[in-house]
Amino acid sequence: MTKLLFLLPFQAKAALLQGEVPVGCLLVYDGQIIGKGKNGVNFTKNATRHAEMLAIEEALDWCKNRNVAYKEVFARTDLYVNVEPCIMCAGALRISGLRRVVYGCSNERFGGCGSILDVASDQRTTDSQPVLQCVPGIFAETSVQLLKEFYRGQNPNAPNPKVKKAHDIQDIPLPSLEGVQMKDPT
Amino acid sequence: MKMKHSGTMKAVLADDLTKSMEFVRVYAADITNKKETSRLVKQLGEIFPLTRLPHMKRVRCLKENEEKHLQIILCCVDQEEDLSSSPTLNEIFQKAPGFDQTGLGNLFSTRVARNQPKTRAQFEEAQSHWPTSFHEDLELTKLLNGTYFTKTEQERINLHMQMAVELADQGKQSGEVPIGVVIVNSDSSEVVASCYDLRNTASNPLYHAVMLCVDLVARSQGGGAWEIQDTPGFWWRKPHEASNRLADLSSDTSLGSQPDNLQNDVGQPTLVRDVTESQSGQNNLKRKFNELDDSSYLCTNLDLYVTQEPCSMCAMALVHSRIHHVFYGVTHPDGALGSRYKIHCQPGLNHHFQVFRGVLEEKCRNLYSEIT
Ligand SMILES: [Zn+2]
Ligand SMILES: [Zn+2]
Repeated sequence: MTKLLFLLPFQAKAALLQGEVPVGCLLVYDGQIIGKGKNGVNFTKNATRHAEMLAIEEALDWCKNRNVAYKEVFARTDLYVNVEPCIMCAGALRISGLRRVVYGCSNERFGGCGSILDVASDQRTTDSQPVLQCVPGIFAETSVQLLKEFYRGQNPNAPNPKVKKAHDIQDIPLPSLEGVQMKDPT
Repeated sequence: MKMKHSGTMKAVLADDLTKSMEFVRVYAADITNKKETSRLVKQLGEIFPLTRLPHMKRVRCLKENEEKHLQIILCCVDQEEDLSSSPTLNEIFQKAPGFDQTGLGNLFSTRVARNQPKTRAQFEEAQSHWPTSFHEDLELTKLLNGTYFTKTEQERINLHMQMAVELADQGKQSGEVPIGVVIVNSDSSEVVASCYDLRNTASNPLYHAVMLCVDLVARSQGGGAWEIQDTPGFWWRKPHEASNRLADLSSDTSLGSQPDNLQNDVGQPTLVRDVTESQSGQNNLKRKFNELDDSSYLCTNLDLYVTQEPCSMCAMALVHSRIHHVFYGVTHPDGALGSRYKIHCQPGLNHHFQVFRGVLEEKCRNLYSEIT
C-alpha cells in the first residue's frame, strides 16, 4: 500500500513535464490501484480534465471490465491526490460515491474540501451519497514544490498551494486510515 | 410558431445585491442655526471623521410644514454603549473640549446604512433613514428590473431553451434523467454543441449533460476527451468546417410539434438552419469562421442553456471553462447556481458569470413533474 503511494508524486510530475498543472492522483481499492490520473486540460482543450476525473473514469472501466458494480467498489475506494480537489472534482467524487480523499496541500484558489466551499461534506437534500471524508497533509511538501515549479510558468489556472499539515510520507509511516476522523469543516 | 414572452426569467445575483441593508446607530443633532452648518461639517469632520461610513451624507434636510429643517451626524454610537443612557452634547464632546457647539440643538440617535447601497432598492431603503451616496450600475439595474435583454434577445433565449427541453425529452424517452443542454455563441447565436444527460444509460455518474456538452465544445475546437458514440441529438460544430448555423427567428421551425425533429441522421438540431450562400458568401463565412476559431478558447463567449439548475460539479466545470452566460429552467435544491451555492459569483473564484433562471420554466418543470 505504502509502496503504491510512492507513485503519486510521479503522476503529478508527469503532468508537469507535459506542461499541465502538476496534479496527479490514485484511486486505491483493497490495496490495489484501480484508477490513476494526471491533469490533461491543455491536451484535450477541456478545462474539466482534472486528474480526479480521469482517475474516476479509469476506475469505472476497471469495474466494467471485471463486471462488478462500481457503486459497491467505490464505497470502499479512497482517492490519493497531491492537491485538495477543486469544487468540481469534490462534486464528482461525491457523486461517484467514493469513501475518502487523502490530499497534499490545500487549494486556496478552487478547493472544494473547505478552502472555497465544502462540497465534500455538505448535507444534500436529494441524493443519499454519504459525505466524503477528507484527510489533508500527505506529500504536502512535494506538492507545494511541484506547484511552485509550475508557477514559474505563470499559469493562472494553477491552484494556490498551502501546506496544512506538512509531513512527508518518507518521514512518517502512513497511518492506518481506518477510523480516521473526518476533517472538521472550517 | 408563436413565441410566448417569458415573464419569469430572472437574473441570479450575489446575495449582497439582493439582501436588505444593514444599519448602524449614530448620534445626530438638530441644527438650530443654518449659518453654522458649514463650520459644523468642517469641524466635526476633523474630530469625528466618518471613516467607517464614507458613503453617508453628514447633513440631511427635512421638510416639515413647508419649513426646512437641518440635522447633522455627530459620531457613531459605540457598540458597547448603552443606548438607554442617552448622553448629553457635553458628554459627546468631552474629548474635544474646544469644540464650539453653537448651532446644535436637540441630540438624538438614529440608524444609518452600514454600507453603500449597490442597487436602487437598497438605495431607497437606505435613503429612508438618512441620505447616502449611490453610484448606480446601469447594467445591474437592467438585470434587476428585467430589461437586460431586448425582446428579440429574449425570444432567442426561449428558442435555445426550447431546444434544450426537446433534448431533455429525448433523453427521458431513453430512460435518462431529463436534462438537455445547448451551448451557443453569445454574439452570433450559432449553436456550438448540444446534448442530453447520459448518466443512467452509460452508467457513468460523471456523464451529466453539462459535462458532456463542455466536452463537445472541446471537440469543436479539435480537442475533447470522451468517446461518445453517435447519439441522436448530440451535436457539435465540426472543427474547420465553414458553417453558419443561426437560430432563425423569422422561419417557422415548428418546434415542439414534431417530436422527432432532432433525430435526423446527422443529429443536427433543426433549430439551426443552413444558410444558402454564394461563392463569395462562403469565403466570407470561412473568414468569419477562422476569426471565430482563433478566439475560441474553452467556453469564452459562449452561453449555456440547461433545463435544470446545474450541480456543484457542473457549475464549477463552467467556471473552469470560462462560460459567458448560463440560462436554466427550473431550480434544484442541490443546485450550485442559486439554490445551495452561487458558484457563478462565489468570492475567491477567478471567473464569474451571469446566470438567469426561470427560462421556459413551465416547460422545464413539466420534464420533472410527470415522473410516474
Ligand atoms: Zn478539479
Ligand atoms: Zn451536474
